[in-house]
Amino acid sequence: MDCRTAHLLLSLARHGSSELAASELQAVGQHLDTCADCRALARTLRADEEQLRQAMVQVPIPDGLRTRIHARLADQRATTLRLQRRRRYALLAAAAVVLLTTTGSAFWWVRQRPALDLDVVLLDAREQFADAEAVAGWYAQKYRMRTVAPTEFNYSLLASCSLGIVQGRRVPELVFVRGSIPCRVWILSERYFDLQQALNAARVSSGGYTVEIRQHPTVAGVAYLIVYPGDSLEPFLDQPRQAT
Amino acid sequence: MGLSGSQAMLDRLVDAQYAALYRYAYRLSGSAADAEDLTQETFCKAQSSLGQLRDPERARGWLFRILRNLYLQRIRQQSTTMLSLDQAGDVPEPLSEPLPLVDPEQLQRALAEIPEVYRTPIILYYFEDFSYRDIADQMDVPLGTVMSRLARAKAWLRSRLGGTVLAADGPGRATNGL
Repeated sequence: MDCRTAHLLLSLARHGSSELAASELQAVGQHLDTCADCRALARTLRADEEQLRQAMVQVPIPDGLRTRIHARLADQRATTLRLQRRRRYALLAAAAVVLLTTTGSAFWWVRQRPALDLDVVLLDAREQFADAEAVAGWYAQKYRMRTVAPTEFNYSLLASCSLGIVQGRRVPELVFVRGSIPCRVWILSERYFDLQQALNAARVSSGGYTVEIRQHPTVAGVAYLIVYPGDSLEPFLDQPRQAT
Repeated sequence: MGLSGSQAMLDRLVDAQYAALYRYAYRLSGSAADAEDLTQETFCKAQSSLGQLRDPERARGWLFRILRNLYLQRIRQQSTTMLSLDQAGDVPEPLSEPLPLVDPEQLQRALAEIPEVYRTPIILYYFEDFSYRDIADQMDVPLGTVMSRLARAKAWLRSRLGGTVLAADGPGRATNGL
């Protein structure tokens, strides 16, 4: 080992620690045995290190520092607990508000439900419609809805008028009944449905029922979705005016 | 670990480490007031994030790391001009002349003149017996970087505190020990 390498390793070595590998320490030791200059340098370095170490640790610790640290930590714990409690109260308050609002809304909803008026029900049940025009007038009055009822049906068979749901949209629904056999008719508008595509399919039968789409003979953009048992709609139509 | 267990552990850490942390903070900042503040802040931070300490055996290094980070946050807001030891060229070699008696305050003044990246390893090296590996972990730098910075900082301190240094490749390569 040359002196330059020995100097480098001596500057990295640390008294009483194992920063250098055993083989490096051994090589340095062997060099020091034969080199008086490096031995002197090693002594100087060790003395300098010890001096610097002693000077470095000479920092007086302020009186009461440990007590002040413990006190500050206790303060911090108390503050954290207070904040946690406050947060818990805030959550409880929010939950209470939600509960009260929900309960209040439910109570209001229950109070707002209309009472059943049997006279009104009776009047509705006895309502008779002579023709399609009368049905359209009823929808306009009851639901503020403009509609065009089918003209070819026998309105003496009309059992009910209401709103039904077709593919998620509320539409007028008519139910004609002959004997105990119902025929349902939903009135569709091209504003809400792609009628052209439906009209191309026109008629499908399955499981004893038939579904068909009919266009209004004169009013554009209106069609009827009709579901009835069997394969003939004729029993529900106005006999003097056969359907097209 | 339960709440009382954590608190007991932190109390033990305070008792065991507060003096060393204070000394470290003092040597880093050069101010008794800042050192006390940094020490207290370190334990407060440790208390609020004790759950992050996975290995209690490494608590000491963890505390020193917290303290250094707090110190770095502070000095980022200050714009002090430091010597740049990176411009120093090769590390000079010492002559076989021992240092005269080192005055702790003179040492502090010398430490205050060098950048933190050199100051931290040399403080840890001299008074807390951190290994080179520990210092590298503390500072998030490679081991070789720590050794190089330590060598430069030691040479600078020797030069500043009255020792004589000589450049490894001749006088032209060294700049008064920097």
